[in-house]
Amino acid sequence: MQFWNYLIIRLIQAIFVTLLVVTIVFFVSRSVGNPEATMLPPLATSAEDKERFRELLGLNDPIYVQYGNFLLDLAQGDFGTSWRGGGTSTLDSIADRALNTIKLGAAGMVFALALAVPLGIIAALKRGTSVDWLARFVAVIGQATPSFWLGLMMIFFFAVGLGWFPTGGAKEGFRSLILPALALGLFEMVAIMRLTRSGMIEVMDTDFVRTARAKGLSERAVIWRHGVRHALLPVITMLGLSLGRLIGGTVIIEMVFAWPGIGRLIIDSILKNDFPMVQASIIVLAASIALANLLVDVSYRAIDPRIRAGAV
Amino acid sequence: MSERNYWQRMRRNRMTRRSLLQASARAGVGAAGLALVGCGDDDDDGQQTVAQVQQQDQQQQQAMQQQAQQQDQQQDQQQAMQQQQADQQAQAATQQEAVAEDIAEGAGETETEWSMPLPLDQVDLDAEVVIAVPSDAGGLDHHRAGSAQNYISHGAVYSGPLDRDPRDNSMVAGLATPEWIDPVTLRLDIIPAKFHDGSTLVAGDMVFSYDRMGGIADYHQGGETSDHPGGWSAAYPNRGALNWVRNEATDDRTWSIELPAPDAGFLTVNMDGAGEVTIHSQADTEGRGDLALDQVPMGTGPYRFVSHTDDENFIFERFEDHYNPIDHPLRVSHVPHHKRLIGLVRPELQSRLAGLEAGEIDVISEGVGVNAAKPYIDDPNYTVQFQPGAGWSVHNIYPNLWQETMPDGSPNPFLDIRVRQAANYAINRQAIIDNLFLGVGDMSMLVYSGVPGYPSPEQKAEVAFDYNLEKAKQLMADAGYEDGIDVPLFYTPDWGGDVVADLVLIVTQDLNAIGIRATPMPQLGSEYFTPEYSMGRETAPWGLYWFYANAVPDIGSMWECCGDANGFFTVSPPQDPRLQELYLAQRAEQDYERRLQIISELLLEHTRQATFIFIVEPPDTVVTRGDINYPKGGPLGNLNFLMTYAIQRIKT
Repeated sequence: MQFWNYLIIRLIQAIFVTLLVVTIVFFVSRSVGNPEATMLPPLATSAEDKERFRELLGLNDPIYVQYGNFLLDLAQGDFGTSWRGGGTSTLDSIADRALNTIKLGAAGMVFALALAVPLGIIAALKRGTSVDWLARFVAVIGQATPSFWLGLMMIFFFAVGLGWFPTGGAKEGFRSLILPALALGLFEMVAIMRLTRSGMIEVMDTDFVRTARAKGLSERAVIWRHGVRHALLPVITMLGLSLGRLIGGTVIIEMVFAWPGIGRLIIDSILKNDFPMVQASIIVLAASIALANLLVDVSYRAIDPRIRAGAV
Repeated sequence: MSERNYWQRMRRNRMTRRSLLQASARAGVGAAGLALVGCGDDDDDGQQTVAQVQQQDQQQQQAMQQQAQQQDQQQDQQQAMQQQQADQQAQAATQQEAVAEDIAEGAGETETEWSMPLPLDQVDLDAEVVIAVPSDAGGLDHHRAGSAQNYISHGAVYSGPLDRDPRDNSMVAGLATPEWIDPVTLRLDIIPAKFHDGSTLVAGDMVFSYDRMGGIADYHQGGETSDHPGGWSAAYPNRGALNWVRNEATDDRTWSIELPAPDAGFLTVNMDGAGEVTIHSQADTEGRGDLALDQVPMGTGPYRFVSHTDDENFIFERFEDHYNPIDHPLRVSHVPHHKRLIGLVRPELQSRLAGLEAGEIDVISEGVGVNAAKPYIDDPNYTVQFQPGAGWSVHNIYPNLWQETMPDGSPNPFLDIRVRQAANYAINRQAIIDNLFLGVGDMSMLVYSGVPGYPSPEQKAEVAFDYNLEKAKQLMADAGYEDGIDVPLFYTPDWGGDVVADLVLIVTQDLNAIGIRATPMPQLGSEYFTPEYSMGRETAPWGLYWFYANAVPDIGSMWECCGDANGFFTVSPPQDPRLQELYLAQRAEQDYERRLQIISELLLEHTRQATFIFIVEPPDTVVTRGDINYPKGGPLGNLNFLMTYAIQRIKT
């Protein structure tokens, strides 16, 4: 029962946070954006035509009326139609792009985890050695490298120089995915690696690990059964945050690699003052990040018996 | 001293950014790798299936046969008639040689052998050409606001009533041949061009397209009953009913328009197919509806639409039944010189350039500045073209002359011609051109140099403001502003390319040197083009306004926004009687040549009066793969879709 209460409270919090974000986006975009300036030729359109255009988009209503209409539509599951051409509903456009973004984010995360966890463990166990030094060096370099720059370098090296991958787009399937996923995942990889390393170092010095060794357990059993399991707790927390960063961080990577995902859609929609698309994209983005955090919290309870036993 | 420091800083900044990328790439890839990928794709050895090539082959065969006949004639005096025909053919061949020589001379004048199309037997007519496109508006209905910015798409699929001759930018017949019946009545003969669905263009399609473009089409009540879920509002309402009192199809082949008053610029402003006007099929549009048209466009253009993947690509295929509206070397074929055209959407310039180097992209013609093209100039794997007056990048500063006083109540100093002249003399344009544009460019005027009537270089030189700091200071002193003026300079860093921010800094420094202390005030484009700023003559803040991209086909549309008392742009030239007189004179003059002379004089007079602070007109830049022949397109450059039409992939 306590778990369900916890879940409901967290769900309400997630909805509240999402709504807050969208409200901010709604008012900020309308305070700086001017759709007729970007969608009509500025030097060839009369004031009357602009007025008619604003009327069509509902921009002549007071801002609170626009906001009310927006919430009403939202409550009915209507996220609106994009003001861009093509006549697609915002949700359809987002669904098309979300798949690409999820693909990219997941590939980046797989890459990050596959390298970060083993490297972090090895660095912790070989603390102070050249392996540890090398891992920390890679971590510093990786975190200090801007992803757009890294992306461009990868394009010039692997795509232009060696011709192994396409320079952009998504039409070549897995081949198109590799470079953006590497560029996206590298930052997360080094962060996770450092966290794994420090977690492992801390855990391996604890009493229960000493006890496990005193019991005569093999070193492998000590590391995997007692060390890694505990060291990964903060990593799981990190994963929740990373997921948000991976989805949000794809904006730059998607631009550099011309990857047709949500990030590019948002940038393009902001530049074109396509308010419905911006709002819908941000709702989806905020909701997915809130959901990821919720999942992390829930999984925490499953992994750590102390949290399960304690008060929420 | 500060100027020298500034240039040094500019150089350092640009070098740092570029060298960082280049050095990193080179370190990683190595020169050998870069050279390898420059080799490009092999061309297909596809068959030449195009109609005109077959015709050409047939003609060659005929010529050979006739040559043989000539030999027979020499042996057989009884075939005198055939001999006569052979003579006529020889005469025609001589004429063709003369035309070819003319073309070659023309190519020499433009300082590049790439300026003209190659003979078709040297070209892979079944090739695919990939052009990089920076952004995608989503929709493909050129008449609809929000969908109208896909220039590649509308230029490929549609055509307009009139076209442009790339040699001199003059209007030529497209889908229609115009004739003035009287000063206000225009009759246009419509050619029986084919739509992509096989139907034939009729005059009713013209009337319908203009109604729709202007937002007054009956079938969807000007958009009010449109089936488009995103709503439908006209993108070019100014092309509609305000321009005429009568617009009707007399019969299938005759279209008639009556204007409210004589307007010699009407044709260029309202019927330029290279600009904004596209003709749709009434039956198709009404049958399929707005949404379907926005997703699958259909017109009479040189390419048939194949597919569009949002934010990824557009694919078009040559339309074999396309009409050939003008007799021009660039259109040696009546259809495009390649089979497929792909617009590849790549938002980042570096990504576009990487795509070019990797062979995924053949042509970058949008959003590539002179400096970005610099590394490719001497590389044989690429060609770089600088096209002056290509219509996208004219930089001027407009002082707000609609307000008599400054905010502190003192007189508006820019109403004094000496202050405007001083500002113009203070701009070191040559330094700008040399340092920012590799020495390619010229002083700007009111409109870009592609507009018919633009003065000759000699005429322009007579009125140009050469950099003269002493003279500028003296003029400021004469006007009583020895202590200088504080003035905000509004500009849009997100419009006009990344060079605008650099230009603003340079110009600010130049103006400061004579006491015009300009403070750069960046504004988002969406804010800048509002009554609060550049479009509110009485309400906008007093100051200087950067103006960019005067890509208008005729002096008229430029004047109506910014020069005329009824225009809507905040800043405009002084309401000078001589300027008004010249403007009205060119509008009333229906003799084409005389009108051009008046326009020329109008532009010269503008410059004499220093109506604006004229900065520069930099060249448009095109970078292509080495196996691509990108015909240089005359003054309209990329605005003119003839360029895309005549892109050729050279056979290897």
